Amino acid sequence: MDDEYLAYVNGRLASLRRLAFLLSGSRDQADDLVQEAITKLYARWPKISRTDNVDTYVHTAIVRAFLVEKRRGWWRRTNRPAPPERAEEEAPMLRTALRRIPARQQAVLVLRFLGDHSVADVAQILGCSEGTVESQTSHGLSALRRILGPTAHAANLFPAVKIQEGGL
Amino acid sequence: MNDDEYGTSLLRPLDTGVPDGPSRINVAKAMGDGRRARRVRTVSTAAVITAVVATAGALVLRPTTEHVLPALPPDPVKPSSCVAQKLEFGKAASAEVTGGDPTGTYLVGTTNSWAGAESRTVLVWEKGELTASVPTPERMPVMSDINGSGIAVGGTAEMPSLPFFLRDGKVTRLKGDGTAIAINEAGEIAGNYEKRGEAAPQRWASPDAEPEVMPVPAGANGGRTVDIDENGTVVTSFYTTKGEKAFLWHADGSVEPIAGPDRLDRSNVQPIAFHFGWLYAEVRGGQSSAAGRSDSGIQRYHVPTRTWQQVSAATWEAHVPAPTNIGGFQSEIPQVFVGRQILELPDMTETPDDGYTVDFISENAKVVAGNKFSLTASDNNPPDPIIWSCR
Repeated sequence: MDDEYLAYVNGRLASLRRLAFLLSGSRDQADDLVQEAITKLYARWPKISRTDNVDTYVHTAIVRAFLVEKRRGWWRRTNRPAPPERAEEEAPMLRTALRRIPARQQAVLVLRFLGDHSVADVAQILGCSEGTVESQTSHGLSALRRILGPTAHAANLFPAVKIQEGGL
Repeated sequence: MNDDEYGTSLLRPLDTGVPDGPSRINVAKAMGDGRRARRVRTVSTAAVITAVVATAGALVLRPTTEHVLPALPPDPVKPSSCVAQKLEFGKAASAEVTGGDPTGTYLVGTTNSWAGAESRTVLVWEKGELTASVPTPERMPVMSDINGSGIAVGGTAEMPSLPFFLRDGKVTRLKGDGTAIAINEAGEIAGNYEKRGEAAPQRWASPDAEPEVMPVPAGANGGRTVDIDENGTVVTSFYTTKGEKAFLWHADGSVEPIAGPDRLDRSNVQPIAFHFGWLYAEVRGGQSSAAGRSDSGIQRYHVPTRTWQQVSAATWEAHVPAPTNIGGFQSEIPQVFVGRQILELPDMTETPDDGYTVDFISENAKVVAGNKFSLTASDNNPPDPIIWSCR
């Protein structure tokens, strides 16, 4: 039983860390989210491992942990002291803009466009209807467009643009 | 261009793979904590059955006696029963209780706690009744602690951070930048200096004083305040080349590292909050017992005698309320540590989506406060502040 859990987690750790980082924008917070999710997964492994939805369960755990923290408004008061950031790790404008939109919209956009989840998958993870996912997608993209301005479609501009944290 | 094409194109630059740098994810710890969580669930179910049997059969259970060294502070008696009640918060869509004074007379909280809210009000409850609802200034700070004089402190929830306090029905800026975290009965305030990406603990001798920034220990940076005790000692956490380390910033200005339970600097100590004369902390790694058991879990540290005591081998067994969300998590059942024991609180669960945080416990353990949250952060299930009155 433990071997199966280890095989699953070791095989998925990189992708789970990537999802958590896309949501939180912070390496340390991403690690916290994944740690919490794989702990919950182990606690329920005897039951969850018998289903076909292990990925959905873990992704749901990460997203919900993220939403709860964000909702509480304490997200910036990280439970870890901030490690020193290197200059090249400064948040680019797009990542900062993504963190400024409502958390559920942020989660929908990350899951759909960076996590390659279908609308149905996202609806299951967030516990809402597919219609809500569609409307949250639309609202989220509109919000990003407002924050980023009229050049937002020019995706290839963003990697070169870097700003200070909270500088928008 | 439809939403699918636009979203894919817009967000593609963020698809840069896994974050670089070392990972702190510990799969062995996850398995250990998860294994204990399985046991906790089993034990909780068994406890309910035992309680029913005890009630039906009039079985008398005696509390266990515990030998405590004279130099160590005695723990409050674990209450035998608690009553849960929702805290009133007026007409706001939602509210959250965030802290209280050591006696539990005053509780403080906020309406609309979520990031990006358009308005917030500071709420003060006295003996469980809403007695003040104070509009906040434009930056809408959230108070995180209050003392027995009714002075509350906090900071803006959105960047850039600014510190505020509530006194005599008015929310006012504290001097300096950053945020305030906790206040003691003497009115000494601890918080963080935060500006242009720099962060360090800072303190104010009073709400009207200039802030004093903590000298950064050698080899450390990125420090944060965790809590302040009644002697004016601020406990802090820093990122160092050896991982996360805790430091005490004493009232006389001296800075003292906290050695982990094994005294060998092999463990990471993440302080959480002061309670019952102890500093509660999450410890990761290290072995101080002859049996070779790991020190990992919740431990507590008595500052005057430098004494460590194990509280729980599991990190998530029960809540340790804190003025920050350090060590915070959301549980399906509300439980809190009283000394080294677990106090199970009656829940107010209405839907399977409900979860709990426990954010305050009085020093006599008779007043506990926390919040009922949606486990899925659903907009249809907003947070509800709760007080548990115990005896």
